[in-house]
Amino acid sequence: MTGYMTEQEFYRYVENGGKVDATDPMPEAYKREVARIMSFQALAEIVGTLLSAEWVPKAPSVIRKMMYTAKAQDEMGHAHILIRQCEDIGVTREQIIEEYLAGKRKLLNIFHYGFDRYEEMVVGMLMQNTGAIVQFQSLVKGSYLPYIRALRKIMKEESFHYNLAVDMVEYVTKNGTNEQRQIIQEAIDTWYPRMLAYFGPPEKGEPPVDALRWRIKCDTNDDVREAWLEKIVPLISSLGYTIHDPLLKKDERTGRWSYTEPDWEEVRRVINDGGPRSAYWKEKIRKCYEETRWVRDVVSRYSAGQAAAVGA
Amino acid sequence: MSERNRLQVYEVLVQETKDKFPVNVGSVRAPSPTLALQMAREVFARRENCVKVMVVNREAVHVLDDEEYLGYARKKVFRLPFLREREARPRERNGKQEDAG
Ligand SMILES: [Fe+2]
Ligand SMILES: [Fe+2]
Repeated sequence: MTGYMTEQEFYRYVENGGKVDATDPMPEAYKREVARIMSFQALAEIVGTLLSAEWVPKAPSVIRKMMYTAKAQDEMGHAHILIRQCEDIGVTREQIIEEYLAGKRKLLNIFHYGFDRYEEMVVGMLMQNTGAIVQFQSLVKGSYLPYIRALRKIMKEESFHYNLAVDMVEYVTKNGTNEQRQIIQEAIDTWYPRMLAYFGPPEKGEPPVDALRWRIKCDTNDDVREAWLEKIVPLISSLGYTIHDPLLKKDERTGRWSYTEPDWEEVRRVINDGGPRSAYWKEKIRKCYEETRWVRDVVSRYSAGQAAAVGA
Repeated sequence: MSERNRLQVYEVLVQETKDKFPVNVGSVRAPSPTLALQMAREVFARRENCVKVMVVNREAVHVLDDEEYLGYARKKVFRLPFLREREARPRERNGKQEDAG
């Protein structure tokens, strides 16, 4: 499709809504940007797997433990699907994990924090899942077809995670104690500004970044953030809780939201230097990676044998 | 790194129900067809029911993806069930008298 295009024509093509497949010729810079965004999400899915798995033993009932096992499997599946797309354009799974362990890859701000209690975790999930959903709804309009296909599959399961999170919050709210309901409200207060920051700093009218121009991303950080507010504000109040932000308001005429700016200095510091759980996750992933090395070695040796057997 | 690269990419096909054809849903990287099938089941058939999962080594797939050539069918007037002049006023066909032929 993009076979006979010059680099300039390629960029004009994607800027005008053209779609690109993995086997199409594409400029290095475009490929790098696609791989960067997909591998960033892949790493987030890996951490998401560990985060979900960690709540299997701690979840309060057998059925919740099973649901959390299912969720952990989904997240690993998401990681796998994204990693396959990365590998097709030259970024391997080993590279993603090893570069993260070497400090060359950053995590999303939300993964630098943890949850001390189940009630807090269910709120965190609700916030993170709604955030992921609006983000995917935007990304799925993009120009890179393998990413679109991957997102379609991921979004189906993400809606299960969303419903699960809503169900957990509702259940605790209905059947829990006053103290539990209070922890939920406090968790909303804690996670709301973190989630506002999750979508990235405002563009403030700056010229669009490459990813946006080439339609790998389709909406500005501000637009995705507002899509999230559109979803989360009525949801939180329907669950019987409040978002405590004195500036939170929708201008009915323009449809735009105003809200209290997150402390961007702190966000940057957390992403670069770490927050309460950064070292914990890194250590956990390092340990997992080391402890499963023997599996990868066996697989490698086995596949080498297979290849030799068929004379490849 | 060269050891790792021996892992092969397999395209995954899933047949949802017996009255449908299998569809290519993605790919996995695995050292053998057997493990590729297990990976495929884990990633693509864990949540949704299906009747068959297949994997094909990507190297074994022959591809034709010339969009101009493949998208040509619509331009063949003899493959349309009506005469060209009717196609020029498609609005009329939105009503209830849908063409039986
Ligand atoms: Fe996920
Ligand atoms: Fe999820």
